[in-house]
Amino acid sequence: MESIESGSQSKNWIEQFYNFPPLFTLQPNPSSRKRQFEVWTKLLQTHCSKSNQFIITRTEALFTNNEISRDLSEEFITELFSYLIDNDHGVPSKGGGSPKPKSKEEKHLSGQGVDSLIFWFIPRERWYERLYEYAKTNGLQKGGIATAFEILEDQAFTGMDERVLTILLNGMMSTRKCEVMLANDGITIDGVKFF
Amino acid sequence: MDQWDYTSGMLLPGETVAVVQSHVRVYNGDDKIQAKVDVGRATLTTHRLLWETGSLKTGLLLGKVQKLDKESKGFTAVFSGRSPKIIVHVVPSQRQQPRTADSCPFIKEKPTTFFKLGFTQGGLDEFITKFADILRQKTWEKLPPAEHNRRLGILGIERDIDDEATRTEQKISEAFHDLKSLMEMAKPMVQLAKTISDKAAKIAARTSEDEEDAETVRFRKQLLNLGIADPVTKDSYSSRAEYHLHLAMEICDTLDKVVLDAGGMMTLVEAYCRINRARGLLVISPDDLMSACEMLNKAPNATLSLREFDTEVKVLQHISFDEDLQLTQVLSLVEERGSITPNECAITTGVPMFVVQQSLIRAEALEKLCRDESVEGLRFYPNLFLNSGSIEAS
Repeated sequence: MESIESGSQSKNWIEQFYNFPPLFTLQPNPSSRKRQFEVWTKLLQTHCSKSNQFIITRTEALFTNNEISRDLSEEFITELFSYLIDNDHGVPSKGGGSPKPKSKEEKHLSGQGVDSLIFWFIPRERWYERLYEYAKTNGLQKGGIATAFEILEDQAFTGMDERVLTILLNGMMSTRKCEVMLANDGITIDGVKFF
Repeated sequence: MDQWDYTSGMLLPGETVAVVQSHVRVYNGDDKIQAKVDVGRATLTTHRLLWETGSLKTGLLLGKVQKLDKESKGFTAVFSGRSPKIIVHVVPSQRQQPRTADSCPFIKEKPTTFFKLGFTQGGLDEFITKFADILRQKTWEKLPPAEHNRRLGILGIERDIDDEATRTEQKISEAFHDLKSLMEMAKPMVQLAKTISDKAAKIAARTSEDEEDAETVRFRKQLLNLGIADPVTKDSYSSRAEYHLHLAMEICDTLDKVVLDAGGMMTLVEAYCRINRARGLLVISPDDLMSACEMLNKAPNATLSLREFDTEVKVLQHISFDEDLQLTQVLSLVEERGSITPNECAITTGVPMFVVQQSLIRAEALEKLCRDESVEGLRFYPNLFLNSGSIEAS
């Protein structure tokens, strides 16, 4: 509970919802369910931004509320992950760290079989902005190059690992603000060129 | 002594032995009888007094006994060693013709109005008590031990069968006579029940609601559910459709109040039990009930209708049933308590669980409630997701 008691105004409704037993039951009513997932997203955002936590697993501590003896069912977590993925709040990060290709969308639920999730506790675009901000402060915005290691050293990206950074930079390329230079294996990032 | 007969030593039908005493001497009047052996075994049955010696078997029908006396022991008796005696007074023989030696064992004796039994080896007290008892009960009159005429041949068998049939018929008509009298009794009973129910209603009206004795209410309810005076039967209608229509009307009349009490809705299973209980012996089949319920919309002034839920559960619904009213009631209850299980809700509102559950699920579909499913069961909460201010604002 402590971890999600962040903003003083938001504390009340979070407490109210986190101890609200129906939050842990998959609501059959579609609008109720949509709202329920919104609440969960907000809860996770508050929780993760506090501790700079990028990875959410199925055994996430937040999913169990001992105070009211409720926890999320596997089915619920799958649904929740699906919601998070479909609404661009996160991407699956199964196994070796490479994100699953988006082409697998014929799957019924995008959260099916996902054991852990890279969760954007602040929106993905904000991360792009932060990365560019980093480039600017280090004078790299005009074709400067930074290594992944250098970026991860920065305080703004505490808690982020190379896997997460790779996904972000790959996404950022589409905004034409940077270019990723891959190592010989074609996966590992050697450096980033900012424009 | 010409009241005595020879006997076969067999018991008559319906006859049972009460007491047996050996070494009993028989006296004709005050004198000893003129037989070689005058001491024998006396057997008292429900019908006869039997007396047998080694060579003689005789019996006296108890119907001929007028009264019993115990011979008062004279002063001398104690010393002379005379045995104690019972004096049996019998009705004088009414035979027109003198009896022959073939039919009368004591032909040689002169006619008397009493004889004596001397108990040479005791047992008098027990014997006389039983004897008096049996004379009082007069069992022989109830079941006259008439010797059954045996019929022989095929004709005899046929007659036996005829007799048997007549007897059975008689028994059946007797039984039905009992039923008739029972039905006659039923009318005053129904009237009595009505009076009591009226009285209960009056009491209920007089006392204010919270003071009302729960027991009286229950009693009154039970009386109101008493039954149908004249159930609709299949025989009275030519077509099935007509029968079912009338059955539908009967269901309306009978279950109207019951359905109302149950919150305006009743499952067909319960309706089936209720209607058959009200009908008593003339039960209907589930198929008949189903057909009748389908006829409800055709019945004039029907207060009930058949309704099918999405879950394919079929219920009888009262015409006055207001879903929204029920919904409001349930919602206010949820608000009051914070959360509610269908069971709690049913207990509080007095409405059957099934009906309440439908209301709760409907409220959920209307986004008024949300559910909590856990090991503790199903619970409904106010829908905070949709009714607690926007998340973005917080």
